[in-house]
Amino acid sequence: MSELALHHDVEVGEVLEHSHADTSTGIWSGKIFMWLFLCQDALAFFGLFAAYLSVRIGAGEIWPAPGMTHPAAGIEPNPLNINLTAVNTFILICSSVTMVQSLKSITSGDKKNMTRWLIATAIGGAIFMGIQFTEYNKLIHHEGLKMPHSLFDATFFILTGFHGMHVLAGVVYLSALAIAANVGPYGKRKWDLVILVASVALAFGIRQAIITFFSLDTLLASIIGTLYGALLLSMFMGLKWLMKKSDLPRLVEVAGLYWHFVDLIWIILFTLVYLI
Amino acid sequence: MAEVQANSESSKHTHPNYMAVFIALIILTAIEVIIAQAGLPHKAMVIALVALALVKAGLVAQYFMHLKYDAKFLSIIAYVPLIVAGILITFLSLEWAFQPHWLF
Repeated sequence: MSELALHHDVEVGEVLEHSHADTSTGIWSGKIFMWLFLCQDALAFFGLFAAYLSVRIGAGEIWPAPGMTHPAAGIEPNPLNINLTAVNTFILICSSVTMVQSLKSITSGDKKNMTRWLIATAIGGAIFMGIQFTEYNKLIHHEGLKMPHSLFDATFFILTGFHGMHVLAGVVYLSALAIAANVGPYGKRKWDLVILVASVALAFGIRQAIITFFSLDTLLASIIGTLYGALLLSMFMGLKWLMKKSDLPRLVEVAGLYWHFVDLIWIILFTLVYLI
Repeated sequence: MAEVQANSESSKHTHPNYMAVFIALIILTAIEVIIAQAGLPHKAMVIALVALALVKAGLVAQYFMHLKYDAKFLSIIAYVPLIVAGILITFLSLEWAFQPHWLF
């Protein structure tokens, strides 16, 4: 891809503001914070990748080969569906594009389109989660995969599950941002109540979904559900507070960094877990 | 306030052609899926797929996450720990690769 092709859109005239005299680096501190957060999060993922690759390489030929859903007798089948996951990868990449469109809209002052693209991105993430949920359902209830069964099962669920939790957090983050941006920092108090109710509903819904479909321990499911409920509420309140101190394009850009990071990790995960 | 500000002292940050990056990512993903199911020798397949994944991840980081256009300071924050982690993963994987298959 030529440099020229990549820059052909530059004339649109949007200018993203990055430099601020109030920081010694000239970069908004919120953006630096997000990058530092993403780095430590990436290191957590890299730790899991290291563990996965260790057992994967150590297993050699014993590890079920990708794409071998119905191998000859004596060879361990690999139940992971490459084509379905490729579709999921496509959806996540599409959601990254809608995210940058959202940023592009707000840098030209178009809040309405920014909201539309943010919602489209959150929907993309939700579809990704839906497909992953379908895949999990098939693998657990039809293929008999369970975490304690084997290292193949354990590494698959830990890696994809940890990433899936990030996608869900991203959907919550983007939804909170879309609502907060339209409610505004001094919006009516009724929105706080609406988000509070939504947070409780989200916490309870996630708890029930985990118990029903994955048969996890009730306490663990409650903790995970509560964390996501608290995330929605704190994101909404936090973003409202931040909007008093910072402008919207910066907040959208930082949210975009998180979302693209989730996409980036999936790109690596897709290759390591599904393809090789 | 939630409003778009035009700060004259700020550095200009332009948007790349996101659609070109998107098309490149889709094409590379399609190539990955084809390679994974083409029945190539395993080592060649792994090298090709990992290389493609790194290119795709690089495109996302450089263009979607704007590292190419942001201050170098952010690139240092982003890449230095990853390089260290890459070295760690490589040596850990090699160490385990030479262990007997006691795990299985």
